[in-house]
Amino acid sequence: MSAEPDVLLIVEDNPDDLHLLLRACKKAGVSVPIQTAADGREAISYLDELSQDNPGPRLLAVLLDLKLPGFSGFEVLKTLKSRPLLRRTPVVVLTSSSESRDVAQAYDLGANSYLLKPAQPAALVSMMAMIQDYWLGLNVRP
Amino acid sequence: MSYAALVASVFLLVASAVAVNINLGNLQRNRELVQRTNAILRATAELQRDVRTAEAGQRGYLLTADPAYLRSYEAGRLRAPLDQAQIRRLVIDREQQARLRALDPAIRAKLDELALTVRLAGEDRARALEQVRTGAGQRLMDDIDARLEAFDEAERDLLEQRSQAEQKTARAATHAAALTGLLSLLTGLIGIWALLRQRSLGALRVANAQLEGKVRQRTATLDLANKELDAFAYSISHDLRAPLRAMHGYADAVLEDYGDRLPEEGARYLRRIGQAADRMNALINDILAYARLAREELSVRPVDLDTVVRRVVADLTAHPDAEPGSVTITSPLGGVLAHPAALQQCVANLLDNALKYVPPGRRPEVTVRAEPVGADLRLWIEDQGLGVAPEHHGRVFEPFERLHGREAYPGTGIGLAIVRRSMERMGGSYGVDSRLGEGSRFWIQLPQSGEETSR
Repeated sequence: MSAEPDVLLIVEDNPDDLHLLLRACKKAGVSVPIQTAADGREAISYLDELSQDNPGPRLLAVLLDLKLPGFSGFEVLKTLKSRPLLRRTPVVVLTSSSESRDVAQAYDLGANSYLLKPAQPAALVSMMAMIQDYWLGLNVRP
Repeated sequence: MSYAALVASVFLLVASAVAVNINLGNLQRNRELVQRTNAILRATAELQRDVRTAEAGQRGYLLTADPAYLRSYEAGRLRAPLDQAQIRRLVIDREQQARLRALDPAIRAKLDELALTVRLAGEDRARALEQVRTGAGQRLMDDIDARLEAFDEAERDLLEQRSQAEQKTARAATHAAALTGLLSLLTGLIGIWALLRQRSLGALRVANAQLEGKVRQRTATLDLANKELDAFAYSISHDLRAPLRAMHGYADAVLEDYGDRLPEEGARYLRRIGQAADRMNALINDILAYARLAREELSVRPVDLDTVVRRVVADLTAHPDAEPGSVTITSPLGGVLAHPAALQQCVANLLDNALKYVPPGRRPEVTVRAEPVGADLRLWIEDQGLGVAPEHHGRVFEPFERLHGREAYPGTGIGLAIVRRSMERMGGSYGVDSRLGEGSRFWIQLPQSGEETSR
């Protein structure tokens, strides 16, 4: 067991979306520490840090936006699934794209869930509550 | 084909020319024959006249003893052999030559008789006259006349026979020339036609190749345009929605966090910001759905209408803002060939409209039924609502056409345009039967599927 508490990683480039997401997390009662990354590069360097074999925080799950500047969400997903220590971590894609090819590609690359960003804030809060209950609670982690 | 015909044409043309040449040769020979016969007849007449001239001279001398008559006699006597030689030169027919040979002794005998009497007259006129009186000279002359007449007759007959034969050959040659000429013309025309056809086929092949090239080029351009459109749609779906989420999110956040400190009007404004964001979100969704219908392949397969309609009704009534109303389905509706998602979208749009456009305060009542039309199945969605005036029946299927105010009847104005485009892409049809104030009967029609339908 590591000394550091387990964290939830949120990869989101849009500051408004991130702000409202964090607010929804608070409202939904998400209690785990949250680490944020504003783009693909930042997310990958954080993942690199974690994959060093030293005692650090454990990754509970990743909330991943697909459309990111620089490295896309798909590339972050690919990197994560290629790291032996991280590849079993649940990845929940959270995006505004309902394009079927995006959905297919995300699952092909090993995403565990694909969610559409709700248009209404109330729906965002209830969605975060479900994520808290399912992915951070009910779901058995590796 | 064309070259064979042209070669045949040239060959026939040569044959025709040969026949014409034969014909011309015949004509020439015929003319020669006539000329020769005429010359022979003239020569025999000359011979007869010369012999008679010699006889007339002899008679004159015998009667008058005037030596002047001897000149006529001598002239006739000397010219007759020349005439005979001339005739011999001209005559080529064997029988006529035989007749000519038979004539020679008669002429010789006559000339000898004349010479004898003239010689006798020089010595003893009485004896000479005695000799004439025997009638031998007259008989010889008669013999000559008869022979010459027979000869002339035979010559004329010969001419007749020969020219008839020549005419026969000439006729045959004329026919042959005409026939081969005609055939030559025909094969020539066929050859030219085939040649032209070959050329036009060649030109057609070239034009086809050019057209194919153009089509490939255009297709490539269109593919590129489609890819750009894809990128554009993707960008819209992502980028336009982000600020909307922010607008709605912050408006709600203000309401939740500071609502108790806001006057009622301020709270209402914030709610309207949220509603406007929702409308814009719906609009973006519909525009994207409409655009996607234009470029995506809508493959059809058997779909059960009952399943689709029940799923749509369940979705609509599950919505928190759903109008309380009744939908009556006349089951079984049957199966059609359709793209399941596109069909569901169409049915949803039609049912949504049917439940929405009712006079204020009236509970919507909608009936869904199916009716076979030939090999197709027509799905009717009938309401008791506002209705559509006949002059607007075409307009309602155009995008962004609205007949009612947005406040009373919210909507994007794209729902029926999506129905129209979906039906067109799936090989179906659509329509409306309605009058203002008497409710609307919208229909969509698709090919009926067999027994097997997907659920």
